Amino acid sequence: MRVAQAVLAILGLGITIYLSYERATGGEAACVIGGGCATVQSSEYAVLAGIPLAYMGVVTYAILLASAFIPRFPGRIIALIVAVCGVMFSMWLQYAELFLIKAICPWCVASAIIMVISLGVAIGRIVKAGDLKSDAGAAGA
Amino acid sequence: MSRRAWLISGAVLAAIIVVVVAIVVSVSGGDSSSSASTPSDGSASGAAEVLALTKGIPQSGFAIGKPSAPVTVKEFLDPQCPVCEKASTGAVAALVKGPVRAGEAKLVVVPLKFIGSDSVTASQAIAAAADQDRGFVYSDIIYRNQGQENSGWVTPDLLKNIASAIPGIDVAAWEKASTAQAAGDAVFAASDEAAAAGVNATPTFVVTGPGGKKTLTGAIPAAELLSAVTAVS
Repeated sequence: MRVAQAVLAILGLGITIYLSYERATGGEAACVIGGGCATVQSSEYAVLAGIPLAYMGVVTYAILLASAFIPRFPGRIIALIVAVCGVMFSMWLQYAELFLIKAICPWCVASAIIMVISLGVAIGRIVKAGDLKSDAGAAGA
Repeated sequence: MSRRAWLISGAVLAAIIVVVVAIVVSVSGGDSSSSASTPSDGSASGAAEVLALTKGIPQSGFAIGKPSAPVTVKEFLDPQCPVCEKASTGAVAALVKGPVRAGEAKLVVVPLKFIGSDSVTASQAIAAAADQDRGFVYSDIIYRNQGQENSGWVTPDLLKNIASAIPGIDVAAWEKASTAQAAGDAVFAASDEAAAAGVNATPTFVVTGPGGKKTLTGAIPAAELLSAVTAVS
């Protein structure tokens, strides 16, 4: 499961680094499906508390990747917290795309899907390790 | 419930609260800064603002500013590019208000067709306006009416209404020129110029003067563009 989490984090990092680069240089993200990438990226909803969501995504996936290499409970709870935050920010952006900006950025959708799967994996690690059952520490997952 | 289960529940709940608060604070604080780039129903808005900005400044072709100004700022833009729209009311407006109006710099717009079909139509319309020495004003008004990229927002009505809102434009001649081969050729020539200059993102500002050359790309602050003008002067 830690391998799956690392792979998902690397995929997410790839997307968010690309979007961050395009944002920093003012370029237009290549929209492979549809055409709302630049509209979404330059909208006010792509920035939270003054920080572009693309940059936040890079940090989030980097922490997620790092947590895959942290063994035992600390690694599992960091992954869970980061994934919960990531899913909430992703869902916020998807809501904004659909109802406020009225433009879809396929890269952001892909990132949201990866984040949701990452949350599933993080929950899976917690459940598999038995963290919810007893005080006995469990190894590995 | 185990101690770890409590810890997990508490941490997840805290994370949810922090994220919700961050989103609510950001949204409630950000409404007033929202740009009003709503797609037009065919009527051109923002013309008065652009005309006030450029009033009394010499214009020629795609350029605005004193032709003998020592510094030339070339802006490679796409009419559909949202970052260019932000630059239009930010860095570009500051440039026109400052060094361009003072005769220290001239600004030349180079409309490109990076994003798609609406970019081609809009860039041709800008080229036709440039035939009547109103290229900059026309492109700047387009940004005040920008819609979602490649959604068909660049309608004949919108383009004609923009031309009609600019004093000094012969609308019939502009309309004829906007669909003529020459306008298409001008857009292709602009693309060639961008390729030769290594431009692959919009907006890109190439600032040239006696003191050298500087290239700036993307959502740059007004101060950065003005500093570049000073640096090459």
